[in-house]
Amino acid sequence: MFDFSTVLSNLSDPVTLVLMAASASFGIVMGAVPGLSGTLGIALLLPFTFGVEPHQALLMLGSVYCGSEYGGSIPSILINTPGTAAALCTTFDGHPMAMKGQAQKALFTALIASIFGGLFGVTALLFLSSPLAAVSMSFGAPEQFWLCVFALTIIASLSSGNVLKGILGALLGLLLSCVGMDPVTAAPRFTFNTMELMGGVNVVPALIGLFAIPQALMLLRPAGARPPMAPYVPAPGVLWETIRDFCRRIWVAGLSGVIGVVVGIMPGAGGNIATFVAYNETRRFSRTPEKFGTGIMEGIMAPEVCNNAVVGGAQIPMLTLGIPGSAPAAVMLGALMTHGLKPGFALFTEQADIVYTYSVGLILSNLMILLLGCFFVRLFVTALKIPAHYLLVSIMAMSVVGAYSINSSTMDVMSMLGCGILGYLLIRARFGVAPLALGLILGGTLEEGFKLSLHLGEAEGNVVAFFFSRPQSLALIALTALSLIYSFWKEFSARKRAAA
Amino acid sequence: MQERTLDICLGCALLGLGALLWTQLEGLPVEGVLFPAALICLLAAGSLALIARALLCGSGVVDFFGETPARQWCMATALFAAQCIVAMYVSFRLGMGCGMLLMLFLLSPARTGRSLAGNVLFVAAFLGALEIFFCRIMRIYFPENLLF
Repeated sequence: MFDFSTVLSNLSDPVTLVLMAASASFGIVMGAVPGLSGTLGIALLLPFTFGVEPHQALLMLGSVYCGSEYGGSIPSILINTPGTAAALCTTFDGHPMAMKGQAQKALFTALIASIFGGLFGVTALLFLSSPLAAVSMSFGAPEQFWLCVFALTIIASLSSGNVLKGILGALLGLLLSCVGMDPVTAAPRFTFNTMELMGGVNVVPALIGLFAIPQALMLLRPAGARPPMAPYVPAPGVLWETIRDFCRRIWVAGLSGVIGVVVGIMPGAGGNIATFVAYNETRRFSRTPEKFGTGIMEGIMAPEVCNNAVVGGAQIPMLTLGIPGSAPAAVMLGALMTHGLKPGFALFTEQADIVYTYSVGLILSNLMILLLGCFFVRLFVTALKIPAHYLLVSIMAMSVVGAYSINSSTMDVMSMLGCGILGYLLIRARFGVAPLALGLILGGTLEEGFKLSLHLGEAEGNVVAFFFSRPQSLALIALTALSLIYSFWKEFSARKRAAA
Repeated sequence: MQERTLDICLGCALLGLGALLWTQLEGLPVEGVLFPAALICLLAAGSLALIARALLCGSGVVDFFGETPARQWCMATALFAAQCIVAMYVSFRLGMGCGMLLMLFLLSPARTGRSLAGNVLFVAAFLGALEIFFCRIMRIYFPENLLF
């Protein structure tokens, strides 16, 4: 069990609070600049967290995640360009509202909705993660293996939009995780007789390369006019008016919060899908569905509550089972493992202080974002004006320094460079980088489960039965098969529709 | 490029990669080989399926650069690769500073004396901040190679 006084003492540390506020600001800027994202922010900040305590590191990364989800709404509202993919729905009503001269109200609506969604998600995280972690207690080696397979297939099928390519990407990631010394026999694998590859491919530089470099290169755009910005004229009393109007429409926030948490828990779905579901459901239940798209509060509240509730939801399976619910959660999982924390029941018992400090700290982080959004919104709006070439150069320089700082290793910088170029090629060839990243992160755990199951199966006299006959394993195999069949069927139907 | 052609090329490349990795497993103890061998077999099967699908029902076009200007992409990628190599093997400060400046100069839309001065100031401030954070606060020192 966790000690609440330790949690409070961790959270009252001024250094932690300053780090959280700085990370949340960084996250808001990452979300606010179109082309950048929370995943990139987490990957870039990760090397900066090695000098701090694990709970501080997790809170820094969690604050970036929360901040970026709110930040994504700023360009959606002001320039009709979503800052992050999950903020696309916010453009539908956010920008028309801003063009009506209500930019400040639209921004405050997004801010309050984001905080409500964030708190909703964190509450779910606090109450649902413990029971789910207890379920993981009944998992042995074969379940560990099948759980990883399930996570990989579902992420592969959902994140790239092409099931076969997603699976191939995940397999590449798993093969990359095999590079180096075999953990049991210490035999060198895929090292091509080079000393540099003996240590394997370090996860963090690879994540930086996969998520930061392709995004930086995609910032390059042909020279042309910037999208016009909606007029932003601050006026007194708008915040209170927005809060009052928000409370009158609280059912929208409740409905979207539930959708966000549920979709967030589903591995691979993430905020991109959740916001569309929330927007459509809100419009369906609304008495005035025809007004959606013309600039109404409900149209901003639904996606913003939802994509912030996803943050908490996506971390429930990540912390309890080691399955991330979204791409940023996958990078968070890598961070968790880098800091020596292993998801599962042990995390909630042996390192409960860290995990509860993190969960409770996310509440604080959301409140900080509320204050930052209220007082510094003008500053974040200026982030939209940062020239793309400055961003590109800064991201690339931070990637080099970040990759090097982990082990002071030249090899890490080279693997970051290689993964960066590979990531760009994979994105352009419609493979996506999330499956490869997850394969790399989960490779070690998957192999461990595989080998342990083999040994235990041999000891019991029947390896196949040991892999396939335990009830929990069967349930996971059924889920894996179902997710694969559904994904292939969905892709087949989409192709048929496109052909027709 | 036609998506069909790209998928066939990628499938062949992955088959080749699988074959190359398979040769690396020779002489290893069985226990260390089983898992990667299974992965290579799955990769080969997936690659064949990708090729078959491309041959049977491949359609669509893939634009490698998308909206990104091809010349700028090539320049930025080559410069970044050079920056990494120079920073790691020649001189970290020189490689990072020159790499950043050159990239800013080539990518910036205005190439005036004022913008150049702005770029120099930006790079100096950025590298200074990194130096203070990593070397002074975190005690992580940048590599010192052939030059300073």
